[in-house]
Amino acid sequence: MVAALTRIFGVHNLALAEDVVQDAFCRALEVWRIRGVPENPSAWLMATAKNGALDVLRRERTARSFAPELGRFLQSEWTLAPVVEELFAADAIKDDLLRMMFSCCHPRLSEPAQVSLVLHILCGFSVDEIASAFVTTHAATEKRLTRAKKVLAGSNRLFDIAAPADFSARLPAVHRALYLLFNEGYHGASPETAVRVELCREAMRLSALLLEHPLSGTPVTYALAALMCLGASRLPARVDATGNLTSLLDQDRSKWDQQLVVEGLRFLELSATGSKLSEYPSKPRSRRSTRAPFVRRTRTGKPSCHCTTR
Amino acid sequence: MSEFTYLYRGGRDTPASPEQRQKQLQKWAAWFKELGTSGHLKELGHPLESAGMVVKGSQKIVTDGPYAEAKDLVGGFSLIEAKDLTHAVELSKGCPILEVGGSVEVRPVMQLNM
Repeated sequence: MVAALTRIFGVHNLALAEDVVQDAFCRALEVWRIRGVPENPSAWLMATAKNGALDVLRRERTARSFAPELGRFLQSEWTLAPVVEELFAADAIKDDLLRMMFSCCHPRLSEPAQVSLVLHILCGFSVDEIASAFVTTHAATEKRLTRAKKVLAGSNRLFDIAAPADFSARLPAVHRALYLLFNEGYHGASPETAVRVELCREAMRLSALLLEHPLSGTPVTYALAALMCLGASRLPARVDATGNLTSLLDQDRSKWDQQLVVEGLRFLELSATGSKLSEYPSKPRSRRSTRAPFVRRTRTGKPSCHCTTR
Repeated sequence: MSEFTYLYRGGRDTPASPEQRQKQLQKWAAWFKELGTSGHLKELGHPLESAGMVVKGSQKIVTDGPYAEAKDLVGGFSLIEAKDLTHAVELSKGCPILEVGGSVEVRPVMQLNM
């Protein structure tokens, strides 16, 4: 929702977009408490956010400027509602999510800053949740996010996903950010839970989005998606009853999610096309020996990535 | 290039379903976009509510209204840039209101000099 609203309001009004989404959720809490949860909660939230956007646009049209390319069409009642309606359509939203993902992976931001931004804007994680994912303080995360949002707001417009050269240039950064995100969930550094399933799921959800777009559905993206599926398939067996990590050799394979294994192997096949070698594992087809990347913390506390075969 | 006003009248006779209304709105949006890209759209303007008030005369008498016939009631306005009146008229022929029995009045903007 934030992505779609930022498209309408313009990237310099990112905070406004976040406010409208926040209001929609607050309204939901109030209304649903009395009337109960509606049949289609996400559609209800979307409609509320859309109406919130219309209100803001009407109230602020003399005071603010919105998305530069939409400019005058948001100023007139002739076109205001149709334009907003069009931008909230399902396909438009998918594109908006992609645009936002690419915008978050801004070259001027460090990789942790990019991932934090993705988690915050695209996945709706709170500052505390992001802080615990990276094992930093609330204050440090907040500072990082504020700086990152400033950089984002400073770019004139959201990333243009229709420009193939720029798209291909930034795709590796997006891959890396999603890989980092998955890894944090797969073997993060949080002392309470070594495995954070929701981070893996978010990474997989966003990778699926990449696969749907023709420009980003590259063999490398398929390799990344394969890696995530195969890794995620082992998550149910990865943590034992006491919460300790089980090594790959000791895991109960019957607990592996077979659907994800099948999906992962399918992606692996699809990644075998094309001439470019990817850094993401794209090897054995056999179910028995999948490569398991994990992040190991060195003594200085900086994570380093290893790929090991077992 | 000179400026012209389009005054839209009528087109609100037949009650339309929400889907029909949405379709009409989309047609308007498409027409405006076209005018915009060809550089003829100065101001989009606004649609107008039918019910309002009329203030008249030095006594400043206020009445409800205007109670003109539906086809005579001004339903909205836009501002256009065109070479001349003929050109402005040509451009107005793409207006979706014409398909639903409405009309477009094309008037040049008067340049007042002191």
